Amino acid sequence: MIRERLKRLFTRRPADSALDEEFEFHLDMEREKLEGAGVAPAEARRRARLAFGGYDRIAEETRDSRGFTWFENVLRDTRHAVRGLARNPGFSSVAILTLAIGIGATTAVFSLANSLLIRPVAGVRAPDELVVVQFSSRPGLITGISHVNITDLHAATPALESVAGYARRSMQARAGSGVAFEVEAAVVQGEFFRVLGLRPRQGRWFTAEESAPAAAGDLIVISDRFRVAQFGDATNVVGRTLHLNSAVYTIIGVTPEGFHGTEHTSMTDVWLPPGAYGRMYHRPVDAADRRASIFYELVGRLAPGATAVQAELQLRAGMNSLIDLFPDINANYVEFQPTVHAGVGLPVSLREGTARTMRLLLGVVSVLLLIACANVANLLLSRGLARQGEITMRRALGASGARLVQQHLTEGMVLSLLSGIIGIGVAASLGVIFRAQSLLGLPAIDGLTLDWRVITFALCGAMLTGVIFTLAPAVAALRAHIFGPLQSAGRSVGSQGVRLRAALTVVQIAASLALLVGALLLVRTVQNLRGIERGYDAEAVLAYGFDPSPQGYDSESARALRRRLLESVRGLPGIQSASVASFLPVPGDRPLYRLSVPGRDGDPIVVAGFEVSADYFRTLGTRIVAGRAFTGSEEHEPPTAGAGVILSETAARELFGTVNPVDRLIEIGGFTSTTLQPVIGVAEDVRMAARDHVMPAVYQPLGAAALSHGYVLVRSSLTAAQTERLVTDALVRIDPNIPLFRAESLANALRRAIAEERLLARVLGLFALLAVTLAAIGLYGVIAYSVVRRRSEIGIRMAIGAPASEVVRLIARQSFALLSIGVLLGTLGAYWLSRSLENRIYEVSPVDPATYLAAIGFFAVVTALASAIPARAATRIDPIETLRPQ
Amino acid sequence: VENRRGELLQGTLELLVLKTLSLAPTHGWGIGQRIQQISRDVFQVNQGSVYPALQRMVRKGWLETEWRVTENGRRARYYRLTAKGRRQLAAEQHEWERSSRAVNWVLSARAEGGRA
Repeated sequence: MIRERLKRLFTRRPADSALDEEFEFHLDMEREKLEGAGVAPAEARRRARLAFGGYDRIAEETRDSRGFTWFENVLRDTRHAVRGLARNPGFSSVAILTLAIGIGATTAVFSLANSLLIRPVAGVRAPDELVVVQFSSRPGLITGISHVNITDLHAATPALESVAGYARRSMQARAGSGVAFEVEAAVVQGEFFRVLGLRPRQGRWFTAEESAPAAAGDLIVISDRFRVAQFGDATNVVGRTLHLNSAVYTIIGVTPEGFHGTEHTSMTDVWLPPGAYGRMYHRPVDAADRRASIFYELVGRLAPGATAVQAELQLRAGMNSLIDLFPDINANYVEFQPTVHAGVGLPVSLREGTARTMRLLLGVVSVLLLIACANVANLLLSRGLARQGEITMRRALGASGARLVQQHLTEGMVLSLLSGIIGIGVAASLGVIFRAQSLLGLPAIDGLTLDWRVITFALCGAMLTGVIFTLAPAVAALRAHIFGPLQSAGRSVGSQGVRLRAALTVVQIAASLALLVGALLLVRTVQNLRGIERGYDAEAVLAYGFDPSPQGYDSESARALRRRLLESVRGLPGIQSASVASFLPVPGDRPLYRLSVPGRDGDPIVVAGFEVSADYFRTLGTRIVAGRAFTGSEEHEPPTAGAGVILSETAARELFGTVNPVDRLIEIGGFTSTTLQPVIGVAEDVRMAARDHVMPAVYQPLGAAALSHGYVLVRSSLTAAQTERLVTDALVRIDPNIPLFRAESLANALRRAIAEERLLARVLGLFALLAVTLAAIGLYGVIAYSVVRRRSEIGIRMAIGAPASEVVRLIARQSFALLSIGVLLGTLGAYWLSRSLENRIYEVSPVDPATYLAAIGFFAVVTALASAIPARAATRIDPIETLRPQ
Repeated sequence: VENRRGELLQGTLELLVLKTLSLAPTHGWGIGQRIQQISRDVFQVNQGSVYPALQRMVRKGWLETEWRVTENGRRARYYRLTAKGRRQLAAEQHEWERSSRAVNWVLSARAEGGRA
């Protein structure tokens, strides 16, 4: 039944056999009657058809008279709309493309927000019930809790059905004779996998006995990705073994595909039981069993009906009694009461900032969509005016207002759904831009796929815009006086439509100007951030991290390894200069040391502490402004040898004012001890933060480094790939089990540090350009249309001797009026937008006049271009033609 | 002029169809023939025009249809008046008489007024 109706609706000559049979019967009867009256058969047939009237038209009318349901009306209107769009490919493609850009951009941003904020963790059961428990409000301080404390706290927290701890650590793996690599691992406490409700892809999870802190801890669970990468797709890996750090582990299970820990930032491939903690760090196993050991982060599942707030209250009460019971061990938690956050996925520390960025982007993209809507509404309006005659006719013939609005809406829906589908394609191509960014400091998120949420969003968004941009033309159509267009024979046009279109154009100009200003401010921010004089040559220096401690090195053997590595890299062909340092002068975590001048009162100054080899300053291109750098014989000496230290300019000034600090003594409060050292030199200030904030620094010889890890810094005449190869080989020759990590140029590390600004500048810039393009199209449409509308007027002016320049002035005046109102509103909008960007922009005022003027100037040029074509057309109007009556 | 005739038809066609079918159920061609006879060829419109009207009246529930075999052995769709159709005929007939009386009254009143 439905199918037949659909067929009837969508085919031009439907196979309606019953109707045909009825009509054929009629024609036969008429023909027989005529033949009976003596008319020749052929003539009788002709006359019968003539008497019957237009066969197709009557068939159509008859079918129409059967009446249509609301649904059938929609289908009929849809057919009508599709035909209309196909008949008018120019209009259709501009409208669809415009909308597709708007919807695509919005969908891309939504997809980003979706993957960051909404997307659940793969494989997790009932993610709404999960909570994250944080034990520190300040990142970088206490962020964990011990195994024993977790057990006691859970007993005091009935609101949490179950809890489990996890501690992420980097480990070193090596398969066979291949190159060693880093792998993200996590020690998991309690019934981690069962709390999350994960089902093993292969094998099983750790049992309670295996999860006991005293258990052997030689079992692991691996991720499915890791399984495929290391063992091949079809392999069952249960029972296979893996070398991690310097120990061997047996695989007992594989996590579901896509699961890499509860945080979107985590890329965990290996999970170990608490008993492995000692094996990982070459220490006695009991570390995992002590109340004082702090290393687990906590996830929990709420009991049925319980809330995060209840859980938090119970946890705090529980924590307070633990503090009372074990005051010396748990004293740290007095200051840091546990907080409970609903949901897993985005790390708690990133939630607020990410939400803020996404709000900004969604706001921006909504403006773009609004502009696209205004454009399409404009297009529909001008087409609506062209169709005024048809609409008036239909109203005169009794079509109800509601019916006409329904028809308009259907047209809008067809247009917007088509655009929505194309928009998804646009979003996918914009997603590429997003993916390319290491967004918001999160490691590469490849979750920007178009899942059902994103597709639903795109199509619903499309339909909503359909309603919005259809309303204006529909209302205009209804308002149109029935007899107006018929009487004036299409020459005059309601001023209503013109005013509406002008208003839409002004809104477009204003919105895109605001976006343009915002984008320019961010582009200048990125330029300013890149242009910061950092006190070292970031482009030329490549850095490679290494850490021998997981392979069982102690501080003495690590020192020997650093020395051997440095010596072998130094001697390599193509390496111009090489150095090893404990930390890099790029944004990131660094140990802070306290410096003071012995015998002088006052607080010590807090500085960044670096341990560096002799060629460090030469490799980085940092100038020594007083004294000297370390010599080759000093670089590996322990701090007790009194090799001295080098201060940064700011540290020197803060400690000694204008006095030359060289050869004076300072006291250094470092990681483990306080030493007294002479100052041997002063180095140029180095800017290590993303912004140009100067952090004072103290440099000690590499031998003073307390931690075993380090970075090889290299200035090379080879390519980055060749250099990496050389350094890797040098390390492999010393110990093949130690992998290099974060092999990149310092410039790249800096770029990563300003990724968010770069992303925002790029996205806003892209959106601004799209917005300006759309606004230009809208402006062009309005001006071109007004030229057509004022043809007669212009014709008369030219007939009575107005020169072309006056006609151009006429057009220009109109464009200028639109432009100036748009600029006025746009400047206000830009002010509002740049205020919300205030803490993201750098070294440029949110009301920077140059930026505003540049944007306005750009717009003036765009306006001139958009009006030039219609203006040219206007000067070519033939006065005689326009005066001819129509 | 043609237009006006069409408009006139629109209102009266339904009445004529109802009247015709009140005598005996018949097919579309038969209805057309009958109307032409009754109206003495006043309404020279396309014969096919009756079908949309029939369809409209079926939808309103005044008529029902069935396929029957004619005297000379052909299949044809027959239209028959329903009870609702019968009531509609009575009502329209009444309305028609009332309004034609009114029109006649207006026409004669006008003639008198013109004299006065």
